[in-house]
Amino acid sequence: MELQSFISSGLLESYALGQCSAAERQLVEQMLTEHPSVQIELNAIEQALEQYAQFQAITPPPGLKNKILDAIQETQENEIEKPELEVTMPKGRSLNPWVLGLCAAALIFSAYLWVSYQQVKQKHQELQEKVEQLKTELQACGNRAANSMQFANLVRDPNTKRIEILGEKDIHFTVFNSDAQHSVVLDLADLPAPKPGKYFQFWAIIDGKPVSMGMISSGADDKQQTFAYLENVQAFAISEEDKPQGNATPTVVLAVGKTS
Amino acid sequence: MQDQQLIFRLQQQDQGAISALYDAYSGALYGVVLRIVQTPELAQQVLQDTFLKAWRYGAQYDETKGRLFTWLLNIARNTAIDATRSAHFKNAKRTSNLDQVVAQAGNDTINPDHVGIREVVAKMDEKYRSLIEMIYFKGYTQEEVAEESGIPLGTVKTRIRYAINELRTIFGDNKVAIFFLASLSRFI
Repeated sequence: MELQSFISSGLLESYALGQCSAAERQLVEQMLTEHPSVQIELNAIEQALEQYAQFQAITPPPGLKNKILDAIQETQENEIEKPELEVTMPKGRSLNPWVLGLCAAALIFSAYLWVSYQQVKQKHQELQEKVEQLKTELQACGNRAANSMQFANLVRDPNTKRIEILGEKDIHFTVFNSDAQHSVVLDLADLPAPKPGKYFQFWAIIDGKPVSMGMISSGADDKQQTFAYLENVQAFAISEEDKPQGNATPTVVLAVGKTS
Repeated sequence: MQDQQLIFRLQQQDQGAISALYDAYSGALYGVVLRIVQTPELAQQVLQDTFLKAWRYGAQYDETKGRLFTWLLNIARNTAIDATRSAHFKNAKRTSNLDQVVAQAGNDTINPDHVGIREVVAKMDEKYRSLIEMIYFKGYTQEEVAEESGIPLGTVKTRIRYAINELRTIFGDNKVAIFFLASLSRFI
């Protein structure tokens, strides 16, 4: 029923005459694929129109057919030749001044980039060194702070023995000795620098014999020096030596301070 | 049924297919094109362009959507109408006398086999014949026909269907019978 009304709607005639809208054409083409009877109907319509056109035919001039076939031949040859032309073109071409200019610009820019890179690299190296230096300084600073703290703790501790050592040639310094903290720290604030070519060595007297504790570093910023702790020290002493590394036995003892 | 081999060769851009199409349809197409452009020189140019397009776009022909001739005629008609819009055609008129044009082209070129049918067609109501003439041969839209003739669009559509049914009767299954009768009538 629906099919019959579609066939008699006049839409197929419009389609055959090329008079359909896009939507109508879509509908007709869908019906054509779904219904063989629609196809048969359309074919009959087109065939009738075709035969009417053939009936009205006028034979074109005799030369036209060859002219058309020649035109097709020519078009075909042109379309085959074209790509070959494009391939052979670039071979013999001289350099385009624009391309040349562009290359030069690129080269200059590259050089500029290289110089800039070198500058930045050097700057980076300098900064790296500065950072390392600051790191070291900071560490030293931290160490000093820690030492100061340790020293403060030592001084505050009531069990710490404070031994003031006084002697010839204005020798004056203080030993803080803690048996509890196993710590020996010298306050060298009042100790004058040794004479040129002379060095101070620090000694512990254990069982009546001098044991070297190490050299006293002159010119320590913080004026405090920590030594390894030894037990049963009866007294501390300072000597003047000729060698920077000191001697096994004291050469000239400048001062002695008993621990008790 | 249509010639499957010819369609295949057309879709493959085979020049031989164009040659065969020319032999089969050039007369019918030329008749239509001449009606639209009205000068033989331009009509021949349009026909050449039509076959060139057919060769170039042959792969696009889809036989499920219509007959080969319908496809070719649509190309020819559109090419012809485009040609009438170009500068060459400015002064000519689409509505000038058809018989004059056909006479210029030479009456002897009309297919003599159709003489009998001519008489039958001549008996077709003028209003149907002119409708087919305007739309099928000259490429007017149904809307243009309605506007120009002052007939409502619905009526135009109904008449087109009726006109095509007439043609189907003339050229359809009983075509041979009519042709025979018409031929016979000449001898009586």
